[in-house]
Amino acid sequence: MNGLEGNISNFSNTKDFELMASFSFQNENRFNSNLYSLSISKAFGNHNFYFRYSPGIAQNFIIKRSTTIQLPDTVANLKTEINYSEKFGTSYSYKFSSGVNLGLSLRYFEQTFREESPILFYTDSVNYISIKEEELSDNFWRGDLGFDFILNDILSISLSTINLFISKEDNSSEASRLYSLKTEKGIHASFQLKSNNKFMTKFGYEYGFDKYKAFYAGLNYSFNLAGGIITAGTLLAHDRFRQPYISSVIPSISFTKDGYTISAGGIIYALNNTSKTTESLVNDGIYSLFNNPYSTDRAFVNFNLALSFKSKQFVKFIDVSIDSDVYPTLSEIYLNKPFATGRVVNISNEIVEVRPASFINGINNELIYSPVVKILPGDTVDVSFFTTISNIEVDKRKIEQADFYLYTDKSEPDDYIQKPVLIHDKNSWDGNVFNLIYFVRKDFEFTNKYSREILNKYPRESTADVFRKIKILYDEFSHSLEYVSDPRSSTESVQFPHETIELKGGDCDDLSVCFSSMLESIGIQTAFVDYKNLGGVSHVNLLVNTELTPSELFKITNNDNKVVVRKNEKGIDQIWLPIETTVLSGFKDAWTAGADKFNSEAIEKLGLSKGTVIIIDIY
Amino acid sequence: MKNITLTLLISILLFSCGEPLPTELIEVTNTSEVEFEAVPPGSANLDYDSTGIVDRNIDKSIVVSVVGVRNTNFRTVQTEGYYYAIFNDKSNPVQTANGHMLGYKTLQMNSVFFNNFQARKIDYKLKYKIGSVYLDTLLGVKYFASQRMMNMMGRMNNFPYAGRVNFRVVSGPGRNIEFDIPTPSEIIGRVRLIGNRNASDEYFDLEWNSEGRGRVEIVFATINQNGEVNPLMKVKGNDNGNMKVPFKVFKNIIDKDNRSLVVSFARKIENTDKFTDDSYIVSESIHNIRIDLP
Repeated sequence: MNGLEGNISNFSNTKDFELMASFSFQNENRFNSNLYSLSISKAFGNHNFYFRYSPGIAQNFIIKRSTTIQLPDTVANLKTEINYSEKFGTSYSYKFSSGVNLGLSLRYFEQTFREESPILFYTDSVNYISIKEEELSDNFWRGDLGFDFILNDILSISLSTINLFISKEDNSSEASRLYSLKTEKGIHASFQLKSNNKFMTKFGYEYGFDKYKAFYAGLNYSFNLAGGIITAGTLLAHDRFRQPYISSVIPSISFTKDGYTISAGGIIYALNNTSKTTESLVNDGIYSLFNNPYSTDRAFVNFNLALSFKSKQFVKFIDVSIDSDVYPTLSEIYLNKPFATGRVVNISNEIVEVRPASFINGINNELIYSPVVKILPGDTVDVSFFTTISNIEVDKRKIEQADFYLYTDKSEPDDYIQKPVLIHDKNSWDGNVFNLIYFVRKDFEFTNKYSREILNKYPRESTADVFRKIKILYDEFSHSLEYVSDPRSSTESVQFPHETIELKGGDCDDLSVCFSSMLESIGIQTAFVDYKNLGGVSHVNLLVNTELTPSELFKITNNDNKVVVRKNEKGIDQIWLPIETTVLSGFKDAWTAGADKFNSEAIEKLGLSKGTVIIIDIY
Repeated sequence: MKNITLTLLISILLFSCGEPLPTELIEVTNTSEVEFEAVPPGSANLDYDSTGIVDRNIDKSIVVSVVGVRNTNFRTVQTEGYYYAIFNDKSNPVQTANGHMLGYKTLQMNSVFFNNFQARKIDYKLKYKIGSVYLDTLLGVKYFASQRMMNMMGRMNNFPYAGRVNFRVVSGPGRNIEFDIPTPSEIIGRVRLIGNRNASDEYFDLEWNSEGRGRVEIVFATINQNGEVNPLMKVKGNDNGNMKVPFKVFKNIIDKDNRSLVVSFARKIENTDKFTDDSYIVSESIHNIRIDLP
């Protein structure tokens, strides 16, 4: 049974709405069927609500009393009717995690005692006795708490109370005293063992603190058939108030597919002819309306319908790992390099195309979709999340929540997870010299204007060739600045060119970025030279393309150690000048220092061959 | 999914009509087989029998009754014995104008004796009602003796409970009848009112000295200011010494003007056609207890 009898904690895997209808069939002297219960459950995230209307959870008695009344035409036996019923139940549960669930249930019980008694009437001409029916009720609420612990894929444990609190309407009648349902307090403990998703065993014990004792043990086996899952099983039950020791067998079979489950089962008692006297009812009483000494063989048919206002889920996250922090200025790198990787499993029976998407608060203006991934049924794959930066104006480093989604063919995501991501400020840099390019490009508007203003101060003929432009620009640039070693006390921070100009200084990164941007913005090619120093502080300076061929070297110098010859994209050799941008005493000195550094580190120490010196072109 | 939903709806309509079947339980109590019966109005014989137990319309040729009575009126206790015999002439029925059978005219014998005490011949009248008017009709004679009469004659001081009463009829040679009527042991009862009337669980707790076999009859009667007793209801049960009768049975009887009841316990031995043909011979012990209700 899916209900409050064995699931006080309201543990449920319902994703959205679930409607359940249960019908009961009995054949005791005559066939009888009735709606046993109609219930609905609804999940809101980790909150789960359940409501059950249960017209079939009832036990009715007719006591034919030995008292008779001589009526005018006949003799009538007096009778007493006792009706117990659980009218409805409701519960709420909260899933603290996938392994811990806490729930509370409330159930409303009605008890009516209809007793016939003789009543005497008399007039002058006639005395007669009639039968009067008197109805008393004794209704009450029952509340219980339950806990579920899923320790691992194999073992889960449930603990719940029995009759933790009873709220009874005041009734002190004799019938109520004699016949009321027993509300002895107790506990219900059960554990469940799963094996290979096929076998499942369950054992439960109900311990009343006074008289009531019961236990059950069962085995289920599941297998796939016709695109669904068949589960068949049997439960054996012991009830202290029934004979023999194992008093009932509860077989069941169910078929689950596409959100619905149809199940059939029943309860078969070893002995149905238990003592049916008022004496046993008064002395032993009734502890459960589902199973008590007067219950007889019964069959059940249940329908469970997952009313999928939410679509069927095909894939789900196992987890998402953040691969790198987000540096807003390096925005373009996230188009090629994932900032996060999700581990995703296809839980359906078909091949699914998953479209991952992400949204980083404060960085993205809209959902950013990553490339589609195809996942085979049951497979687990790593899915990459790429992003673009819509807003680079981040002034402070902060942690933002990133939302990750998995879309299939529906408008609603199949699964969702949220993870924190570290967002650096706009000046932050990841230490990769290649990525200084983004600082160069971001300020082209400023540096183009700045460079042109400088060049415009000179006669056109003095700025006619590239070499002269480089020299003029560097001289002007260096005179207005001074080298400051790491002004922000961070090697991971880079100034934008306009900041370097405004601050009148910077470290090697800042100065190289700034001068590179000044040249690139007016069409002069530059390249970073990354001098890696594994044991110390790395260094960066520039190579600048004069666009002169080696045969034109004499125009600028007679010393071929002061230049670097590189092929352009057409395969033509061109002369590049190493510029040490931290030397701010003028172009000549910076060129000399740059050439010395390059010759020493890149050529003599074979840095270019060993990879300790890398030239990074700025395109 | 639509098919499943449709199946579910049809199932609800088809299978949800029934209600859970009731389980029949057998009542096991020590006051088993209690019968309630109304007593017809006007059936009390005020001479000696407040209970109206004796049915005067028994369709037998010879009706003999010997009754030992104990009357408890609060703290006063009186004992009495009544003996009577009626000889019905079954060829001479008496009916009302509308054909309702009232009884028979009676026959007269030379003499009738109870324990050798000759019974008196008195009028045997029948009181019946037509519309709202009570009428008396004379059916003949009945032979009657009381314990008081016997005492005065020094014959028998007390009713012979758990013994015998010799009955002899002298009506001519070859037509005389004589036999002994066995008598029951004396019944002595007690009435208590227990419970809470407002909670509807108040009841009369009736106790008597049990014989452990046979049946007893307990009659509830009202008594008016003139001391007239009107039996209302007879309850028969096993002679096990105890019976509980809910007070609410008398809800229509007890009011602020009528708070007195007479509860009569009766143990009887009936013999039909045993000692002589076409006869009903009964001996009884009756204990009448008058109570005033709070």
